[in-house]
Amino acid sequence: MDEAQPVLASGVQPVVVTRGLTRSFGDKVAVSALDLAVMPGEFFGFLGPNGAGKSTTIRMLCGLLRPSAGEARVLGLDPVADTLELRRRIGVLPEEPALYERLTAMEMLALVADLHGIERHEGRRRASALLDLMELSSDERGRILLDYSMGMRKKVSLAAALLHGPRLLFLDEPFNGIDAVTVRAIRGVLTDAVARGVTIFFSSHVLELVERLCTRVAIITSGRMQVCGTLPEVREQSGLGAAASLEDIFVHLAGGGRAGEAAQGLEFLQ
Amino acid sequence: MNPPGALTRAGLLLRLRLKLMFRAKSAKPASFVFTMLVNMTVLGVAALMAAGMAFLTLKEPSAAENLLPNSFGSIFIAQILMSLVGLSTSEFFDVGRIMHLPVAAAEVFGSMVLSGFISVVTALYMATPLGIACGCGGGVLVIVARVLLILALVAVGHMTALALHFLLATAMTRRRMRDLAMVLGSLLGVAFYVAFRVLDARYFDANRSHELALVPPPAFYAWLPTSGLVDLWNGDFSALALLRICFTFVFAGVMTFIGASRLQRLLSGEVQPAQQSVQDLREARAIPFLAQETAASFRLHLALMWRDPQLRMQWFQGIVFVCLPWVFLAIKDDGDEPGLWAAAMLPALLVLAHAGFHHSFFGADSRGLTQLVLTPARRTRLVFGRMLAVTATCVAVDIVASALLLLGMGLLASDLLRWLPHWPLVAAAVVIFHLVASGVGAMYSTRWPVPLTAGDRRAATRSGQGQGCATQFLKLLLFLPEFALSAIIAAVGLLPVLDLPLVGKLLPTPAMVITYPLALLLAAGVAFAGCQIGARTLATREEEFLQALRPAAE
Repeated sequence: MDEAQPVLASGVQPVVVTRGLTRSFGDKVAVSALDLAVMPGEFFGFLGPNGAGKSTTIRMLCGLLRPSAGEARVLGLDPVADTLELRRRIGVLPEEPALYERLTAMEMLALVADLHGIERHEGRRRASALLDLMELSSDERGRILLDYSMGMRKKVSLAAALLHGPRLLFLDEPFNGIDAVTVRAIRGVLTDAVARGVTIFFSSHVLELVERLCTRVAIITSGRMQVCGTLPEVREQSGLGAAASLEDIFVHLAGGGRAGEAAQGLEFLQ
Repeated sequence: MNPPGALTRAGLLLRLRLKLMFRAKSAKPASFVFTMLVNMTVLGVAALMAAGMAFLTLKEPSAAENLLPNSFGSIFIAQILMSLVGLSTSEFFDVGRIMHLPVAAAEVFGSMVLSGFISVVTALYMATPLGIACGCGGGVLVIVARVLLILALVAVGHMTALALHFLLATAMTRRRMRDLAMVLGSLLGVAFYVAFRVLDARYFDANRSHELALVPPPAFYAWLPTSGLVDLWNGDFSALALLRICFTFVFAGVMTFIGASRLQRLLSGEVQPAQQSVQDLREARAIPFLAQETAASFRLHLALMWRDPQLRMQWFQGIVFVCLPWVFLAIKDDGDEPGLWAAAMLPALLVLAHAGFHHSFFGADSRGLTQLVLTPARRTRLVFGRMLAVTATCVAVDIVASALLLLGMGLLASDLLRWLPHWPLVAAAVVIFHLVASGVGAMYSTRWPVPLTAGDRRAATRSGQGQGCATQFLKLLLFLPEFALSAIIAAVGLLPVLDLPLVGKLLPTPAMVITYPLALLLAAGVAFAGCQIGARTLATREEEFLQALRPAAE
């Protein structure tokens, strides 16, 4: 696929590129022939309604799922063949926090640091700094993760994704269940990271945030790409005009027109 | 719109319970059939118990005099203990999911008590008194009244169990409750086994079974809340009996109040479950000779083993339920001491008791597995760290356990230290058995990963990822070659001290200096090969691996 990989005029290669990427579960096609290219330093928004195939795509790009058909290159590596090398370079925040619930936050981050081969003292320093950023008190850090709220687990999971300073971050619903203060702090960290050249592949339902942060967006429904580009490009592709917000475009593409039909028979709510 | 009354709401909750009971178990037809077979077996056992009691009472009408208070008192105690051991309220429904609906705590509590009658296990509790009622005969009204008393007995027991459960739930963490359940469960297991042995020895002879009726009830049974029901059964209305009858009803009322009010406090959030703080893992010093990733995997799995209450329970209960009966079985009824063969079987039994750790250890706290898999650590190091943690803990626990079991065998043979001299040999065999099991386990747990805790297993079954009975049985057969291999290697190591039948000793004892290290080397070779194969399997089957252990993630 290397020869087919898109290269910009400046010679910059995309960090994520897929061609015909497909994944089926039995008869159900979760992702269908997805073509995608994400450039270095982009804050790329990957949107779609529930069950559209966003998480499945991210899992394929991280090497957690094998594609049924098609190909993908992430940082120039094949997620299936070069799995370990790829994982040295990427950070992943899964939709559902993947944490050992019987470890404390500090122990969990120390484990991730050790498994990434980060020098022991440096690993602890980074973990402590990230937990400071996430505003987890020293008392909370001493509790096992089973006793954490969903938002706190998400914070620890995000810290684990950032710990080794990856060049590419996959964030699946990173702000779900996180308070506004921490959202602002994390947003700052992510925009700083992008300014330093880190690429972020960002999936979220908070469209206002996506509109504010992302340099490009893609919207998929039922596993198929609908539109992809900068916000003006997406407006043009959707045919909704220059005044349309991202939410308007999303609702239009995701079949929001049916909401009016569904509302029939709900007069009792008046 | 008329809001439903309290009874209707309780009825709705009961229907919910019924639906959940069957839905949870019917993900696969084979699972449903298996559940039905188990239920039919339990009902069959209950019918046999009832028939036995009916024949006993028919044969000796005066038998009911002792049988009745004995059975009522024992059922009450068993209901409370079994409920606490099984943390049975957790199997009703997660009350946290209905707390936002317009149902009162008393209604939830009431439907929980009533749902006790839906459970098949209740048939076991009701069997003996129903058998006695059938044997005693009497008019229709008398029999109906007695059946009502039996239902009241079960209800009082269930109410008390639930009230105690919620009382404990507001006083201690769920993890501490699980620890309590572990201790109670183990004690109950031993008590049931001893009781079975005693009954087997004394009364299972048909000619002596009538003697069972001669066993008087313990004195404290007269002060249990169920004694009032016995008095009502017997038609005793003396002043003391009336006092006991009043006590039964007052007790039931108090239990309902305590249970409902504690449940209310839990539902309203007045009581927060206490949170568990732990010492951070020994500020993670480097472990000599181990690579950083191996040491991290070692520390992780060591922490998981001791912090999960269910896993802690498995350490203890494996010994109690697999090894302890063996110690008893090794003693003949007439009190003869066990032979050397009994001691020789201990290593295999101890490894069998804890084989689950080797064979499914990646299934512990499996939520974190995605994070583990997402790291770039070499798979051989992840698997090796895990093997080290499991094997070291298993060996340490089982060497201590084998000493205690040998002491127990000596105690039963009235010579405490009689079997202790065999301990070094048993311990040496335990090491070899666990090394082999760790190698086989590394292959097994990556090729056929199985969730280790009950909750994850249920989730896997519901999502269709669980394994059918036939598959599980076939996998169990893997134990046979594994044990045969362990036994052969252990025999090589211990050959100089074995006095084999027919051929006697083949080698002089000092030859163990050569044979035992050789056996250790062989066992370590199996472990090494298992580690390599397991790591390769893990690297090439990550998707299947995660899917089997974290079905909800998809």
